Formats: sequence, C-alpha cells, structure tokens
Amino acid sequence: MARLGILTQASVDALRDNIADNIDRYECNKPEWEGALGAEYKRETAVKTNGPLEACFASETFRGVRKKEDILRNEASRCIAIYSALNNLTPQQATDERVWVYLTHFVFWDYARARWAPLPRDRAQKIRSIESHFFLGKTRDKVHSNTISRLWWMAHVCSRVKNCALQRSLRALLHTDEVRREVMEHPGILCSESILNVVMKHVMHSYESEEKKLHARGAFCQLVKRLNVIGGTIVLDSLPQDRLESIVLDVMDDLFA
Amino acid sequence: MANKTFPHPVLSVQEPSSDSDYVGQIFKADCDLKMQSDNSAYVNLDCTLSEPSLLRLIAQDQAEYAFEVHCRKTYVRRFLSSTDRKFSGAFSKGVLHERVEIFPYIVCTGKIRGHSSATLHPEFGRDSRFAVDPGDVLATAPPKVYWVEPELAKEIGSVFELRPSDKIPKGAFDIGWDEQKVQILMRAEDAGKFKTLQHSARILPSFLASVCLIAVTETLKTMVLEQETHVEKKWYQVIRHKLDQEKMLPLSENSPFLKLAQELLSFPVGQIIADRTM
Repeated sequence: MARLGILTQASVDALRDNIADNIDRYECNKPEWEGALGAEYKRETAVKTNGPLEACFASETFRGVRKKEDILRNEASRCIAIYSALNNLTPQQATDERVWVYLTHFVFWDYARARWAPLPRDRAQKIRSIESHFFLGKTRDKVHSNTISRLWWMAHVCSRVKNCALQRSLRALLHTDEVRREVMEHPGILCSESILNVVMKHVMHSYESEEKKLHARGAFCQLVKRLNVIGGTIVLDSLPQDRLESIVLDVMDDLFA
Repeated sequence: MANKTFPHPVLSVQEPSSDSDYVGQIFKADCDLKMQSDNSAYVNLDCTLSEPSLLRLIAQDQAEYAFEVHCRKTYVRRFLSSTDRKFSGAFSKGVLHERVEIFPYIVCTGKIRGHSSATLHPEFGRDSRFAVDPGDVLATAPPKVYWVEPELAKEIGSVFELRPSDKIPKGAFDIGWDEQKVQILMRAEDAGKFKTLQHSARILPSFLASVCLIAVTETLKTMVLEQETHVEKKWYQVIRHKLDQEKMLPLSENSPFLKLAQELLSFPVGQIIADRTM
C-alpha cells in the first residue's frame, strides 16, 4: 500500500525563501530540487494513497495537458483522479502546505509547469505566480490556488452535492471561472451543505441548458450576494430543502425577470 | 447575526436588562469544543433561557435551540438544533482546522402569527403581536471562537518562535505576540546562534530555564491583562487548552504566573540540576 510523502517544513521554507534565486528552475524540465534541498528533504506519512501517485500522474488525464484548450477539457477528470488517489486525506491534512508543495514540485512537476505556462515575463509577477501555483500563496493557506490542492478541494466540495455523479457537478462548477471562484475562494454561505445542494442543482441545470443563465457574467455572484442578504436575518441552514429551493427560485426569477 | 435589526423582538442579553427586547429576561449559551485523541471533535451546547413565551414555543416544537459551526479553512458550515437545552454535535476527525466559530441561537421552526409576550419592552407597544416564520431568529448569544489543530494536545512550544529583530540590542531579547505565535525577539546574529544552540540536549534545559520561562510567564500575564485583545488568537487558544488540560484554569491577576510557567515547562531548573548530577 503506497503512503503519501510530504516535504519537511524546512524544505518548504527553503524553497519558498529561495523562489527568486531559483526562478529559472521553474521554467526548466528537470529542476533537480533534490540537489537543492539536500538528503532529508521529505518524509513518508501514515496517510495511505489509493495507488502510487506517480501512476496517477502517468495517466493521460495529466500528461495530455499541452495546450491551454486541453487544460479545461479534462479539469473535472483531474479533480476526480486526485481526489480518488488521496481519498484518505482529511480536510485538515489537505490544508497542509507540505503535502501540496511536495506534489507540485516533485510528482506533478511537468503538469504544474504546463498548466501555468508561460509564466509572466515581469519578475515580480512571475514570483507571485510561483507563490500562488507552486505553493499556497503568500499567506500559505490558499488551497484554491495551488496546482494540485485546488483539484482536491474542488472535488471535495462537489462531493457534498448529493444524488449526482461527481463529474457532473465538477463540470458545472468549472464551466466558468466566476462560478468556480465564488464557490472556492469565498467560503461563506455555500459551505453549508444544504444551501450548496440547492444552489448546485441550479448550476448544473444551467450548465446543461442552452442558455446557461447562471453562468452568464455576474449572474452567479448576484445570486450568492442576494442569498447572503437573506441569510443575514434568516437562518437559511435551518430551513427544510423545499423552502430553500423556493427562496433560490424566487431570487433567480427576480434576477432573470 | 450580531448587531442586526430584526422586525420582531429578539432576546440577546445574558444578564437581565430593562433595555432588552424582553425586559429582565436572559438567553445564555455555554458552548464548548472538545477535541478527542483521534482528532475528532464534539461541540456541546448548554442553554439557559428564562423568557416564558419563548420557552413555550420550544415546548410546542415551534422553536429550537440551535448553533452553527463555521470553519472557513475546511469549508465547513454546519447547523445543529434541538428542543433540548443541552445537546451536542460530533465532527469526524480532521473536519475542523484552525479557527472555528460557534454561533448559538434560538430559531423559529413554525409559522406563528400573533406571537406576543408579557415581558416585551414597552417600546414595542402594548399588546403587540408579531408574525414569525421558520428560520427567524428569536434569541442570540455571543459567538465563541476556538482554535483547532492537531498539535493542540502537545507541547505549547508549537506556538513559540524565535524571530530576528534589529530593534533589540545585542545580547538581549524581548517578547511579542502576533496572531499566530508568541515571538522571542532577538538581534539577527544572536537568533541565528541561538537556533543552533537550542537543539543541543546539553543546552536545552538552560534555554528553557532562561528565555522560555520568561516568555511563558509574560505570556500568562498577558493572557489575563489583555484577554480581550488576544482571546481569539491561535497562541492564546493553544496555551489555554494546555492550562485546561493541566487543570490550571481559571487564570486571574493573582495567579502565581511564575509557578504556573515552571509547571508548564516541566520545571526547567530541576532539569539543569538533574543534568549536572548525572
């Protein structure tokens, strides 16, 4: 049974502190991080993985990313692949920078490079991009921005949508950056499983329709904003599903009138 | 739900007050988050409610005691409710991480027309009646903040860090507190040398007896004297948890801080003496 490896904290700190010095390595096929970090740069955890992660990376789902248009096509499948491979990770463990910095710099290096290539030309912007996509951002907690952690977390959130295939909810989430950003980068009302289920039902319906109303620019943000206002005085989470559905429908009717 | 203006009376005081929407009545919610050894958690709520009309609504299954648990880091927002004034919610291992906020309420679950009470504040008008619907807040209590992390049960050293500062004279140190850590501030060259030395088994007891003992003592004092400023910070919650485990709570201005600090650090002077006599 394979176990998840992670970097030591000292290795994460060393990589982070030396982004500027290592900037050329981030555009290189073989960065040779082991040499830069020294012998004891990683350790094995007790977390079991669903097969070796190298096998996950070797699949066409990850290796097939060459052009920008390839990226979005299989993003949902990549989310499912990572979530399945790391299905023993708890949410608490999945906030740990050591996990994702290891996976991004070692196991999924080629994919991470291809995913964000080309990096910005401006040096300061390049460093910010590296911090964001190869680490967990400047504040070390942006799980929605790291190349691999974002896949796990999107699958984790969508796995809470009941009675539908994970692929379906992920595709609806990923169809526009606005919907993805609102759900993943502003954890608020949609962290409630009951509210998420009602809202995602409409997001999936929108994705599968011709008009894709909720995926139109500004529409989903407006829906969430109005639900936040309603939720300011009513405990939405306490309501039965049919009442929540009725509230969401009323907001949507008003938005699209 | 704090500081909102509701269209119906909401009980939001923990001590009887003539200014409250329900005069002289209280709603208190003692909540507590307990971590288990397997990193699962229980949130326990124990409510006290005096207002007769609200008690009646709960007895008639028209309202419930409730709390919401929010943890942004792990995308958790869970609502739990009961007509029992004491109830709990369980969280599987690893579901909660770092800042956890608990919001206690009493929430309406029935469609009520003509809700009234003999204790209503006179400003609502004599014989006032209100319509309240499912989801409406009937009472609130102050939220509580907890800090959860796997290291919580271990040594408090996880929230102390050595930090270089050029404001500190050579050979001296100072103590600071930010959101996450208690900082032991030293000049950069001193900090560098100290980082190496502190890992030496031979030097460690002396390090604990000098720098750490002072840092822990000063931090315990700060926890009492500046509680409101620091209560929601990570280091505060971790040390408070340790004090709770060691049955050293509550802290007050008269607490024997130096004695408590020595206990928390397992008597570093004793370690030096033991080391010398081996």
